[in-house]
Amino acid sequence: MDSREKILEKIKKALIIPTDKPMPKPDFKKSPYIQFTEATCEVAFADAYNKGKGEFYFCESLEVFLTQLKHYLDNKNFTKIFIWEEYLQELAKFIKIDFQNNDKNLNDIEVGITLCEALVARTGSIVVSSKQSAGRRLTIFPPIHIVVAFTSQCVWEIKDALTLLKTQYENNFPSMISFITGPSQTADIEKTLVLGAHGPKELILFLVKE
Amino acid sequence: MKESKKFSEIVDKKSFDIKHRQTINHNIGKYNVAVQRGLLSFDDHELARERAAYIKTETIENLDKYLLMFEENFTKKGGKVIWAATIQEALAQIDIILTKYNAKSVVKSKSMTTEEIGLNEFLEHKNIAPIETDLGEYIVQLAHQKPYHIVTPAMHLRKEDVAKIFHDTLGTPITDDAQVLTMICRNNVRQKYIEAEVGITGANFLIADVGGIAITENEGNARLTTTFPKVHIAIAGLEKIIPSLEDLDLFWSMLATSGTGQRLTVYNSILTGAKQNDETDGPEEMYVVLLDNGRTNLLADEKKRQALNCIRCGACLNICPVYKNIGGHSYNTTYSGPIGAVIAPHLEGMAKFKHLSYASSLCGACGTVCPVKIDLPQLLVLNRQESVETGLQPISEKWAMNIWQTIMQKRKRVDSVSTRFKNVGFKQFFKTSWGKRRAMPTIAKQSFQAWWRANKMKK
Ligand code: SF4
Repeated sequence: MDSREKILEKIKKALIIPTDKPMPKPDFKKSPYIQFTEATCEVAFADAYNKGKGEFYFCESLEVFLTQLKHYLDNKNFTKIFIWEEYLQELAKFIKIDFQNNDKNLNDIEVGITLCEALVARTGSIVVSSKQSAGRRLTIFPPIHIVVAFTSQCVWEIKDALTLLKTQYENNFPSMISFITGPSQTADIEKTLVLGAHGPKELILFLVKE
Repeated sequence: MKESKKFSEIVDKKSFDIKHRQTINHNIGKYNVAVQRGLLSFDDHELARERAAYIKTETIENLDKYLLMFEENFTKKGGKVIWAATIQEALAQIDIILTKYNAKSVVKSKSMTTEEIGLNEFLEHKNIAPIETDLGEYIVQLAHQKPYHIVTPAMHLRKEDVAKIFHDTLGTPITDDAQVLTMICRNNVRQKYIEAEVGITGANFLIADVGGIAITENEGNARLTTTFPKVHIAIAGLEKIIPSLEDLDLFWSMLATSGTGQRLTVYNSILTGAKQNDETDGPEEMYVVLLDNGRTNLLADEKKRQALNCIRCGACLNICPVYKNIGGHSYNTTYSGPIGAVIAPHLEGMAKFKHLSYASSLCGACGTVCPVKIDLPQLLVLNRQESVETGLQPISEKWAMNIWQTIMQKRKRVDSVSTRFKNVGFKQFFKTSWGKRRAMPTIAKQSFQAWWRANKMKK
């Protein structure tokens, strides 16, 4: 008998006697979290997001967004900007931003600009996945991560985002999904908060109204 | 030396180490403040605990079904599941993968299960460099220590200690700036993700319906560990399973609140396999090692089975007055604190670690904070019971109990010796177990029975 069968056999035998401490089925309808006071999903999202350490820009339209992004990047004088998603590449070309569309010299990266899958109002999280051409790398490796999101991508709960991904991808489920809630951080030394432990030190979100 | 003897000796020193106590109180004090804040995002935290306890209990009651579901779904997408009954089996299977990829170095994210199987020692023995990437783990690895806490591995070290460890091992200048210290780790590890052939992680949850694992972390090192290396191996205790993707809503929230007091940890990631054809990057292969190592023994005990509900949040350690005084290292087990005292005897041997179940005042604090409502105090009592029933208590204790019983059953026997003799005998008897820092109570000259008789007569 191989280990798999041995273990399964042991489990089956163990479970013949039910647990001594069964749990009564609790209410599964009521939310255990506090009620939202915000009227719309994007306002609730913004409130939650701004409690964290990420930067936030709300853009009334795509045009406003493009001007703001251009302004932001020019101001910072970045020279190593990586963009791998076609839609963003088009926009970048339009506002004349120099970027790299491949992974050559990825080590020198200053900024990665990516889209996202969804935004979660409850926690202020940005959901990314490996199905985006930004891949696994561009949402974790750069010291600065800029995310471009649209108000229509906002959902209320973590659960909603998960269900959305399930239905959207069905049998082609992404190999990696990540809920990002703020910049990379650590508090391993005396519980002192330090940003940029291994992932991006700065997380910047441009939320575009649709 | 016997494990219990070693324990007594270390504990005796640690409990009166003022510096140690200050460091731990400082850290846990900050944790407590964060948790109180974190709880504010719940309207009904008790309901959340009831749900988490219910889901975990139901899942464990159907463990075989969910594990098979996990296996089927994970395998469908090309992932490989390895069932390991013992530590040796797990290491042997991992070894095959390391050889296949000709691994020279392995990047690791924080995982207590890899501690459990002694992965680092194994890799070093094979001349493969195990690189801990989590800051806390990185520090304790450089210091040649074991993780002090299941969530905060370097909780016992102060900034000065970390600076000295870095200075001594890496030659970096002494600093008292946590930011500078963190950047030393970041810069040293960054290139390692790219060079390492293999990335090894734990898993906070195994998700049955999509066939994937979930990893919770703040630093981003687990993300990087599962991004660059050619192969990703996740090692998980087989009890980590939850039925569906949507359950993560509850469990991520509970883990964050109880673990660190955050509303949500920075990175909550789901990994369901290797890079797919339409994806940009990612590993070529992904393996999940399902580790038994004594868990099915715990499962077979219907009274103690609930210990498998644990999501390793660390809350029971942080609230435990014993843990706070003796510290994580005194346990000398992979999992410390109340949950460690409960499961260590089953994972690492009852005879060796039963003493831990006695190292508790049974104050009950751990049971009140556990997000999955494990009745930890009750489980400690059950361990004590098991150790007595299987005849594992020391001979001297057995003798003592027998003598005690014989004497106590008859009043005459109690009265047959003088108070002075009783006091001397008492002292002799409890010489070691009473401890040198407590005064032994003395037996009154007049016994209660004698007093009662005399006083009743008066009336
Ligand atoms: S026993 Fe409960 S409180 Fe302790 S680590 Fe496990 S889940 Fe957390």
